[in-house]
Amino acid sequence: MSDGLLLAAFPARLRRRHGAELITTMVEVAGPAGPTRADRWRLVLDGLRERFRLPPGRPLAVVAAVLALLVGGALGAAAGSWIGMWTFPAVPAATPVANQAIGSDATLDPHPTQERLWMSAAARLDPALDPTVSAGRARERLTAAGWTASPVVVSGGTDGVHFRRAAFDAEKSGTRLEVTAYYDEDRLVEIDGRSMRPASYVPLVIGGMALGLLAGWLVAAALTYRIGGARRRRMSAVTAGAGLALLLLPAGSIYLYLFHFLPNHESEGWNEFVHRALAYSPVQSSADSLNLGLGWTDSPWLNKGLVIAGFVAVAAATIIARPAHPSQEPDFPTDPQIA
Amino acid sequence: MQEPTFLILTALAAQPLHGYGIIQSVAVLSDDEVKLRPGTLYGALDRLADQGLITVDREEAVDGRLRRYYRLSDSGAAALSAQAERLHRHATAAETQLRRRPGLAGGAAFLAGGAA
Repeated sequence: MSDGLLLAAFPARLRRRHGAELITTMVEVAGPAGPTRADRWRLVLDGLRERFRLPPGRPLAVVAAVLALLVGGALGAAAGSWIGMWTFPAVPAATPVANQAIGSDATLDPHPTQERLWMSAAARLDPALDPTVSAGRARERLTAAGWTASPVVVSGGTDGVHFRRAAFDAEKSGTRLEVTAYYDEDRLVEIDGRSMRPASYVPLVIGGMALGLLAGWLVAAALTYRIGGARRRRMSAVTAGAGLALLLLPAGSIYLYLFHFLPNHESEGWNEFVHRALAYSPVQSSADSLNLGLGWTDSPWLNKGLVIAGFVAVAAATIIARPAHPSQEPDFPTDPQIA
Repeated sequence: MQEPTFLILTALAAQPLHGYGIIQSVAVLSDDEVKLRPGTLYGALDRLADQGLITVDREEAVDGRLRRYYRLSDSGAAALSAQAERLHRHATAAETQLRRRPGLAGGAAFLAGGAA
């Protein structure tokens, strides 16, 4: 392992101030035989540990680091959710599946809705046929085609609001179909399909969250040290604090989605995603509206704007927090009598 | 003040030392109970310098390698003195309490054993 690689484990300020000494001292401690592989790994681990340390005696740095930890966890979970979304299997084409279900009992409406993770088709049942009987026949056709179907259930029609209907679910290759035949004037049959959450989704969200927590703390540790040694300390601290404050709202929004939708991934029959607080949902286009009222948690554009503004502020704070004496070597307090 | 910090300041109290010298001195001062590693030493030195407790005394190149000597600053000496006084008070209080322990002989024997 080269010296540069060993020192890469350390925060930049320690590399800059003590890089050469670290290697010299490791060699001196090891003696004539030279450093062993274990000595080198220990140096790397010590360097990584240093990255997690906060400046001593600064309670605000601890508060900032805890908040950055939470923000990082939220953004990591959202990133993991976005990646996890692409592991959902694509639903099959709507028209062939709908035709397979309804057979010759109904006529398919043109232009079914087809997305990657959901599809929806409508058909009109032959007026001479009973919806419950037809639903049962559709179930038999799908079962013969390899779908695993639930029994047909007849419900509604008693409250004066909902039509009486016969419905069943069917699952195959990560897709769940809901077939519903209504006792209404239009003789409507709905065939809705959506992708089922794969086993990979939750680990990706949790993994993303873990990486985000880690990154949040490390960035806070590095930035608080940088601000501590900056010439424009107050301005950089205020800018970083403002960036953190901007990030708190979207982070809170993501946590709401996380706690609500990670254990229960369905909302009114649709798939839900943890990252919907930040991004367009493939199943909920209404979530893309700009909502500045109490519904801010359901406003991805506002949250997205806040995340971008927050990152810009933190980046600005990093630039403002240039070291007080960047060109002097060593970057370390020296005795004025010998300086 | 944590024990390694206290021992580093103690090591630098008498004379300026370079990194390896500090590690050796701390090992001697603590009867080998505290063994600093290069990777932990410089983080600690960095924080002590940021707090103004130590400063760089001089630099040397030995066999082409950098050696930087550190010395205790005036505020470092004051902090070390205050901490030593505090530890001394606590040690005295502990000894006093042990002497009051029921079975005076046992307490005295314990202190004698500890001193040995």
